[in-house]
Amino acid sequence: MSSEFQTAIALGLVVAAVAFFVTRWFKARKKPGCGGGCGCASKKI
Amino acid sequence: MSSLSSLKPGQSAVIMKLPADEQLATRLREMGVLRGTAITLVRCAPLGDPMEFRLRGFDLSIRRADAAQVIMRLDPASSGEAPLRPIQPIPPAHVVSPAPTKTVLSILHVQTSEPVSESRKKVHPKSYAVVGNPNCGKTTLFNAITGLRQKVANYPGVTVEKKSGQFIGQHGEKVELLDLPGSYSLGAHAPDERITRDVLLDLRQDTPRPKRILCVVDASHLERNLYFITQVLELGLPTIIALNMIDVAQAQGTPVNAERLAEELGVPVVPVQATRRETLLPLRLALSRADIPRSDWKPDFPSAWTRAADKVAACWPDQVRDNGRAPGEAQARMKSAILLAATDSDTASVAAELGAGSALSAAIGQRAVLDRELPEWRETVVAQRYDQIGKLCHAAQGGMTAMSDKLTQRLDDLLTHKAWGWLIFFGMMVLMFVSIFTIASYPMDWIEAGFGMLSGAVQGAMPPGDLRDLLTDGVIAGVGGVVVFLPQILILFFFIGLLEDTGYMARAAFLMDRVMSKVGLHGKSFIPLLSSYACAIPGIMSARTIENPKDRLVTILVAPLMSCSARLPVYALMIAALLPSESVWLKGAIMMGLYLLGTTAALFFAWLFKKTILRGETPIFLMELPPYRLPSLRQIVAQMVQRAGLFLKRAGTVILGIAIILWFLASFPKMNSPAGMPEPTKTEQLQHSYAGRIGHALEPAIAPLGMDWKIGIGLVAAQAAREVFVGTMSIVYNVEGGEDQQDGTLVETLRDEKRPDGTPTFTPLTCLSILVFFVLSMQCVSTLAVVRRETNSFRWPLFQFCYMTGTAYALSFLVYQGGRLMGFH
Repeated sequence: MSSEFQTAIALGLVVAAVAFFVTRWFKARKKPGCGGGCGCASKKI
Repeated sequence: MSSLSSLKPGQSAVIMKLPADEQLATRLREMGVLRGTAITLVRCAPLGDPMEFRLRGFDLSIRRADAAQVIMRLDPASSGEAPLRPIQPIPPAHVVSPAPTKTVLSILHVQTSEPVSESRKKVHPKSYAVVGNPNCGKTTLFNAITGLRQKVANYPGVTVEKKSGQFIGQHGEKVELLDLPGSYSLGAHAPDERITRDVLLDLRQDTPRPKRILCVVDASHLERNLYFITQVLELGLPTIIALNMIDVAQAQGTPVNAERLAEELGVPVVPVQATRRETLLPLRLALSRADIPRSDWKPDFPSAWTRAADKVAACWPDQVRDNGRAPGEAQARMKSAILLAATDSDTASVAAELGAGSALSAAIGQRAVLDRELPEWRETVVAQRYDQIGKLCHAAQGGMTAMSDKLTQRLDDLLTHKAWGWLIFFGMMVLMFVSIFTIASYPMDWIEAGFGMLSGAVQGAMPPGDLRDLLTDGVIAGVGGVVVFLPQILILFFFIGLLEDTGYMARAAFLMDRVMSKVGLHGKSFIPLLSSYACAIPGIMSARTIENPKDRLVTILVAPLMSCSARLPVYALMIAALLPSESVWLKGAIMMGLYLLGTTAALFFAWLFKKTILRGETPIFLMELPPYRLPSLRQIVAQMVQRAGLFLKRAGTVILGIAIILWFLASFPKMNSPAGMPEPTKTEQLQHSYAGRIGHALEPAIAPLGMDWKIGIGLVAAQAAREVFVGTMSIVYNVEGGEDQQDGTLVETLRDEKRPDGTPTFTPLTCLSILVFFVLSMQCVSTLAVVRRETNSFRWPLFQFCYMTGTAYALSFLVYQGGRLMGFH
């Protein structure tokens, strides 16, 4: 696996991580709450 | 005649007069404290306040100042407990059996209000609202039937929001259950009780009223439970009663004859033990039935009250009575009764909540009529209901009254003792924190070794490059650095679950109430604050049980100061860096000290807010003390598994995402050295990176706290979630150290870290400064989002962030600079 190819995949993963947080933020705006990370009562079944 | 507060433990009295404060009087009445009620003082809390009374077969905790407003007459006949009778041999007809045949018989005994054939024609899902008193086992039953795992514990006020779940009925159809917060009365004083009232009265836009009701009744506290249940029956909806805790009722000598109760109330009564799934089949069959009857039970109220309620109901806006959701008349009558009974100061807000419109003026007018025709009508109406409930209980229990739970009494004698109570309380805390270090160290070593092997395997399998660095320095170091603390978090939750399940949490609130009242907090605030040791978010949510908005807000503002489980990895890392070889007892003591610091800060700020921006009277405190119960290991393990799942999910999503982004920020832009010059070192590369620039920009602000720019990167990342700090440290030092540091643990790396002048970065003072900062600062975006939702304002979360982080900065500064002035380093 060449160094350039590794860099491209790594940067792709970084972009995916940023997209994950942006999507999560938009979802949280629609349905405010803890985001589901803590097991609190705000998460509806 | 004197006041209740003058009673001595063991003395009994008869209530003669309730307080003039109408709010306190209303709450007391609804809990069954009425003129003529026999009451016994069981004990006072170690600090003298609150006082624990026994009445109507249950234990009620009241503050001394409130008890002082209740006038009583000493009951010379009983110097011991309120009327108790020894266990009588149980007549065969009263033996409760959860056998399916018996239950089905009890269902068939009652008449249905609509023909079976007609109801079967209707095609609509069967939906039930699950209601009952707090701590009667609603959520345990809900979990047992639906297979879900909502949080349960042995104290009132665990469920503060509606939850829905389904199960497949007898004929393969879906049956929906809506678990609602516990309530003592439809009068609804706290926000969680209002959720229940609003769903049952069809006042919520987001939740249509369920077509049927499943009332859960604690058979061991039948009289008090029936106060709320009879109000619900008056709504005229098809209802089933689940008679829970029949084993406890039997053991205390008051078995309940379910068939007799079903006959009296006109609805099916199904005996169950929510903790034993094999007893639930009859209830599941009952819930699947097409024909559920409506109760025609009505209290025999004085005619003046009935006339007044009918007149107010007649003025209720037409759309409420004619909204097509039968039975509108019963709803309007209940709303009228609630509005009439509201205190003068609450009338306007209750009218607005109920949508009273023109009925408000009618209610005010009818109150004046009632004052003339039926003096003390407020008490008379409640007493009338209790009178009839007393007759019901007599019929269903054969006139037997509850034996006090001797085990609970003996345990309480010890656990709320002036000296032993505190010793045991602190002993349990020490045991918990020492266990976190001792027991957890083995699985932590295994997890750490596992991630080390994984990192080594990836390095061996891949050629050098950015992807390999991302996987080893970013993903494995970042996620592994956090996951390694899972065993400690699970041990914390094991202890919390144990304390909650046994009923000790309510005693902890009882012990601490004097302290809470001194800082102006509600006694009920203690449970949200204790819940915040696990996570501030459920703690903030459970503040919904607090009636007064100002007290609720104070609790919400200080709850995040209690050390949550996300802080645990940071504490453990810094304590290990601070004391690498000292005993676990010292580490445990420091850990406990950090928890105490957070708790003290929470109490201090509560006092400050109550004296300044949220000034108000010390609130009313009425709390039911639940009996001790054997903890359910299955329940505790299930909660630990659930917690582990959530933690790992978080590690696999949020923390993984942050680790990837942090690796990028710590690795880019790449530093290219001019031709002929040596390659930049890892430290130079990190300084040149985006993360390095952020850290350097922050350094002037945090240098007075003893922190350098690399710790600054961790502080920025920890704003998303506190535990990310640990993962960030792993990434920063792995990125910087490269392959030569893979062999050492993060703690060893931190201890070896040097400043440019060659002095150690993580000195004891720096570690303490970081610890103090993490105890007090507000670093959780999710918590801020929940505070915004609960307060419906951006102002309060912003205020919370500023006061907490400002205090954290000031105190860390004092610790570091003060320590240096005193010659420490």
